[in-house]
Amino acid sequence: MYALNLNEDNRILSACVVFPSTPADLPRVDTLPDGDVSDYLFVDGEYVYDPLPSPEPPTPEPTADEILDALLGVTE
Amino acid sequence: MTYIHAPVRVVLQDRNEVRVEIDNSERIVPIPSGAQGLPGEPGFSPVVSVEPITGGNRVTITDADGDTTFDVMNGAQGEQGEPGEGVPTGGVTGQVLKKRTNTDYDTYWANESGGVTSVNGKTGAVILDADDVGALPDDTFIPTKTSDLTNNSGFVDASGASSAAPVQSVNGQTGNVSAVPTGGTAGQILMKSSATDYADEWADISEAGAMSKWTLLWTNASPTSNFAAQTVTVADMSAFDFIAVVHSVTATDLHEDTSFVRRGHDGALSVVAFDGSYVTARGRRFAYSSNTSLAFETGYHFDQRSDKQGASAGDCIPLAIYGIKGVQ
Repeated sequence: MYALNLNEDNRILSACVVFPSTPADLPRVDTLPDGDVSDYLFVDGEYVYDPLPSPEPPTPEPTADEILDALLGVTE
Repeated sequence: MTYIHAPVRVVLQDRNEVRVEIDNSERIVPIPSGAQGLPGEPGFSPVVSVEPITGGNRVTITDADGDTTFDVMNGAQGEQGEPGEGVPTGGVTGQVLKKRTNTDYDTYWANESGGVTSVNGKTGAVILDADDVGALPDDTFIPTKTSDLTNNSGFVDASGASSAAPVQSVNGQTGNVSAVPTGGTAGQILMKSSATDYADEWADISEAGAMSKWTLLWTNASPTSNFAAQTVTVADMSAFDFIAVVHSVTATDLHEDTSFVRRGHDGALSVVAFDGSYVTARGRRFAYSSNTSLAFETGYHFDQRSDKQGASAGDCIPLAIYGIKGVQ
């Protein structure tokens, strides 16, 4: 038995094992979704897969040639 | 002198005047008051007396003229009345009178039923004695406490004076055996003195080693999931001295480390790695927001090799939270 910690949008922030002292207002589930629980919403007792958008990919590091061209003002 | 040739009619109007009529004329003439009359004779109040006589009463009325007597005789005996309500007619020997309804006089004759017909084979006015019913005699003593009984089975009594069922030994010891060693001082605890069974001694807590108690308050059921900023609600932490948060490096690197904070203080989870050339550091701060909650911020990291840093929900994932008490 697990308890879900949800944010105001019903997104799962984390899941914990239920102890006797676990707050009763946290929703209880018997199973967790596969993968990252934070990719799911918990709506009306059901898991809804809704992953957060991936962060922007890092800007590619300029190559040494590009840096050199930039320093020398070389343009193609 | 005047002569009247017409009829005169005099009509008494009331006690004070009369009306005199002649032809069509009339006059009202007042009647003068008369002279005061003579005083009357003294009055006499009649007296009535009744005297019983044979067969009636004699009534005597005495007034101013004397006594007047007459007898009033009793009336003749009347005819016999209708028979009154009594027991119903009929019935046979031995029957008893029973009520049929709640109405007055509504009774009937019936055979006697129920009730006791005999006691212990006796009928009539029965008086039983103890022998009749197998009862104990009046002078029989009934014990009300164990001290009234004779301990002829060898049970151990309050004085321990029994030879039938003594305790032979305790843990191989005989005589006045104590379950704990003698001596000791206030605050000491019982500690094993060797691996031998029942070998124990009194010891100070510091000698006994760590006497702290760890209580698991929270466990992350999905340790490989990202852990965004959030408040985790746990059991009441007010009774603990320290709070320990076990965490991983990242959601994919489950090497663990533990952060300890004094109860009531904010803390931080951190991991620093060095690969011989560059340092990678990860961390996550948390606040002791109440005795039942810890508020975790999002994780952050710094990678010296790529000179990258930033927040990430995948860094320093909390895995478990313990409360620790009994710290000396």
